Amino acid sequence: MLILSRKRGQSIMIDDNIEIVITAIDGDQVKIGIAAPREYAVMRKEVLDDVKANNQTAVSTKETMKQLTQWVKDRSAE
Amino acid sequence: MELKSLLDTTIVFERSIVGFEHLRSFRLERVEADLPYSMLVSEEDEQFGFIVISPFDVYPDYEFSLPAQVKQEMRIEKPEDVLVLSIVTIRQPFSESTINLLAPLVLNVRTGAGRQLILQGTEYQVKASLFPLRDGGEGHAHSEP
Repeated sequence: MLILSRKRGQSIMIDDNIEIVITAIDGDQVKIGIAAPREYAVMRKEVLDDVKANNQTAVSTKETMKQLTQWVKDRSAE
Repeated sequence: MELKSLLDTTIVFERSIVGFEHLRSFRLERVEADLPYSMLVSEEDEQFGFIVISPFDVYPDYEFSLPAQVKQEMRIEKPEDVLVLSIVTIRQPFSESTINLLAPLVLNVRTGAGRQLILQGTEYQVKASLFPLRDGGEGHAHSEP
């Protein structure tokens, strides 16, 4: 991983079309501005990790599906 | 928007479902005709699948706008081209099951292209209740999102 030192207001360029600018520094928190073309999805890593973890938990078999549908039916019959 | 037109055809997730980069091709199977759930089964590994449901069946007010970039890349030309499904996570008891509203599956019914979109700037949850209003008898009435 490349590590660069930057001060407030300074930027980093990735190629010539993605700019990452340090907009504010406050203790252990940094505010970062990102200007990138629309085709790049920019998000906090935790969001992606959340979706990934949830997808992994969601993996199901047809057997689970049958149990769920049976449960839904039983419940609506009550 | 018709799910029927996609049943038993191959759906290709060129960018894969997040975390499953080795699986690209899936098939939608309906398990019970009178229930809204379907199964998205991997064609590369039949044991592997997701239970899916239209998020609008659970949350009628659910909405998001499809970024122009995504429309272009997925060759979505009109609203009728699109089918939106959400991944269901089964939990025990079943009444605690959840639906992923933050990262819906967007499918082009015309081309069979699919993508898991992660919505930006929304409050929708990865783990929204699958049974938000109807009480399962256990006394939990979830109100999220």
